[in-house]
Amino acid sequence: MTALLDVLLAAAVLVAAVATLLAPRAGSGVLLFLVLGLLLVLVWARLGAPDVALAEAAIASGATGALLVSAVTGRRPPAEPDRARRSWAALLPLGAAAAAGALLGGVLVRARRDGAGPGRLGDLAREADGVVSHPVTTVLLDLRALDTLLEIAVLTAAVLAALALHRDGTLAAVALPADTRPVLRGFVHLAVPLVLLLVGWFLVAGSSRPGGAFQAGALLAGAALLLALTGRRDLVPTGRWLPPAVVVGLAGFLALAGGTRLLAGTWLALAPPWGAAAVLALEAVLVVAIGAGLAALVLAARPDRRVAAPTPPADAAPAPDRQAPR
Amino acid sequence: MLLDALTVVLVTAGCLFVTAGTVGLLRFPDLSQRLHALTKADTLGLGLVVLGLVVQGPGWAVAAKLGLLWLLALLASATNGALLARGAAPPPGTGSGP
Repeated sequence: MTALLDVLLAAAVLVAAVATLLAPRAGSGVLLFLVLGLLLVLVWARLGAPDVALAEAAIASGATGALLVSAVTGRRPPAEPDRARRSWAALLPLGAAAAAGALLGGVLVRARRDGAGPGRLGDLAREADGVVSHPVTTVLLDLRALDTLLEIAVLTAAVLAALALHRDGTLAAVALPADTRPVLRGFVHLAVPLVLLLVGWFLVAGSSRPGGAFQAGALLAGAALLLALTGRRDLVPTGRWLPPAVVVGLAGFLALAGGTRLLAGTWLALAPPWGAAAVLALEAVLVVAIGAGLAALVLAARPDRRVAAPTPPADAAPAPDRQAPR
Repeated sequence: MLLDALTVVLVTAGCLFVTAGTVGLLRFPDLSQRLHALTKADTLGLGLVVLGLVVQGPGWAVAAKLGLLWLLALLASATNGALLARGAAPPPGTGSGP
């Protein structure tokens, strides 16, 4: 009975993935991608991996979905210039996906076969005398902290690159149409405090149970976007406080690495008396950085206002200078 | 035993409502009718499923959490329905429309 449901779920994932690739219009493809993300959340939950399910829901489906939706709705290219070519062009990613799937399957089968020996990361995480009790957080911030550091560096670089395309390297000049319909504002007033509560919970829960900085950061980004798009951008740092908020995660990580090198002698070596507090503090700054970064990525998809004046004149004679600071 | 039967009945009814909502989404001719089918029937279906799970007696804490989940889904579904319906009609620019 349960096995049947699992098989149906797996089949639905495959169908949704193929449909996402073959969707004739970009909008349908994005919606199907969101459906695919939802199904993947269910798959991870069925596999007993709530951490991955949360990350999938918050980042892979939520934040990426918001990016894709804003990209699709932001610009209207000519609708179907090359429909005949599209179906052929879709074969290439399908072939690539099939090849990657076959390779990955081979790797997984072999890993399953050789996996009985010692030294697997999962066993290491369980047996490691980590500074926090949750094995996933132990892997992310203790055993493989360098990997996480590099992930944060990549995210920071991506956000800074997106910001560099805007005036002054911030989003202060981005035009955000404020949707102030009362239904939406009422919803935001109810939802944002709840989301912030969840952010705090994920942050402190990450040490001992599913949760953590990435999930909390994605939720924080969602709350920031809700506020920024409903006319409360004064509550969201889009101006000169945005770059510091984006960089603070990487800076905190590097500070922790340097501090442990100086004081404990090894890069990112966490020791029990202060290790748990260090992890929590690091996760706190990571939440700010990830939240600000993901929200900035979504908002950076919108173009700058043409006139940079703080109070744009109604009869704006468009300034002839096109040399915004690159 | 009686509670199990009640759960089966409630969850089945919930699934029927959700299915009816989906059929309505696929078959109804225009947006407002589709939204009507989706938001109302799905929310009711979810409520019935939640009720069926609460009957299993997992304790008050879990029951309260499930109830809160249903309330959140209710709120999100109603908001999304209203937004989609108003988004389809041509809105009068920004600001509070008439």
